[in-house]
Amino acid sequence: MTSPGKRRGLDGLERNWEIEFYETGDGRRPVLEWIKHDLTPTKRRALGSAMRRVLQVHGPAVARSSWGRHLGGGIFEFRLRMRGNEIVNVEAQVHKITVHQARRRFDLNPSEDALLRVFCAARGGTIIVLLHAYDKGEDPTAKRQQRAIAEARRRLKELEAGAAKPAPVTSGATSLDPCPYSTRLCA
Amino acid sequence: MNDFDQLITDIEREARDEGPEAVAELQMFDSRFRLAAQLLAARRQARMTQKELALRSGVQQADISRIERGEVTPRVSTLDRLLMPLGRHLAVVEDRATPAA
Repeated sequence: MTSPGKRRGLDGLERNWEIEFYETGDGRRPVLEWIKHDLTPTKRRALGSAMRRVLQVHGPAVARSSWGRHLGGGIFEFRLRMRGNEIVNVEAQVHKITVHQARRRFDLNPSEDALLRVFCAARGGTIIVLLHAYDKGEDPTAKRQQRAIAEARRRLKELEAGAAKPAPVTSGATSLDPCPYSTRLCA
Repeated sequence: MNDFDQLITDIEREARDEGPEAVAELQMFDSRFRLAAQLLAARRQARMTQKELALRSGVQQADISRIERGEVTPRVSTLDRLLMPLGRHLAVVEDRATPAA
């Protein structure tokens, strides 16, 4: 395990990015939870490895490669495509079962690709915050994608607002509303 | 250790608990993605497009694209052809980080 802090890549790249998880007001980290609980072990290994070896090294520059794209408003997408037949083969090999058994046990379709999408924002020139993520292979609709991007934008806005205000807002009240009840009660 | 480093440690432990095939799978991903990132960096430093590198190396652009996306494990001979026009060569380097015990 590498120690946290400044690291220099062996490939001569000077920039190395710290990866952080967006945290909700009540301490949940949705992207971390998604990786740990929603992904299969194979997808978890693939995405963890890709973020460590590619995202952590190239940072937001992944948006200028086939690893991602800019979405505007300071948000970029990091993506990992895993071909369906490759996942089936890997699962079969790992669990020492046939390809057919792997398809049935893990409900896999070889023609279904996993398209892991992670929405990120660069902060302060050294940090990448993972705002939101989903598997586009499971829901390829444009609607789902728009909703996911909108949620990522909302979370980034919340982060930026939080950074401007030193004191955290207590739960239940919004920062814009000094009165947690109705205006009449506080008037 | 931050949350991301902790996640990587957890993923490594999960693979070890699962068995040698899972460890091999993680190593395969690591190897492909590290190579993908390094080739991408080398091509960018040389200010070459995939198309230009394809012309100068004789490796098909589609194959370069797949290597840079970490979708395939290229042969050493393919890598040699790709690295020559970039003024690079394959090397064996020591891990900076000590592997997790």
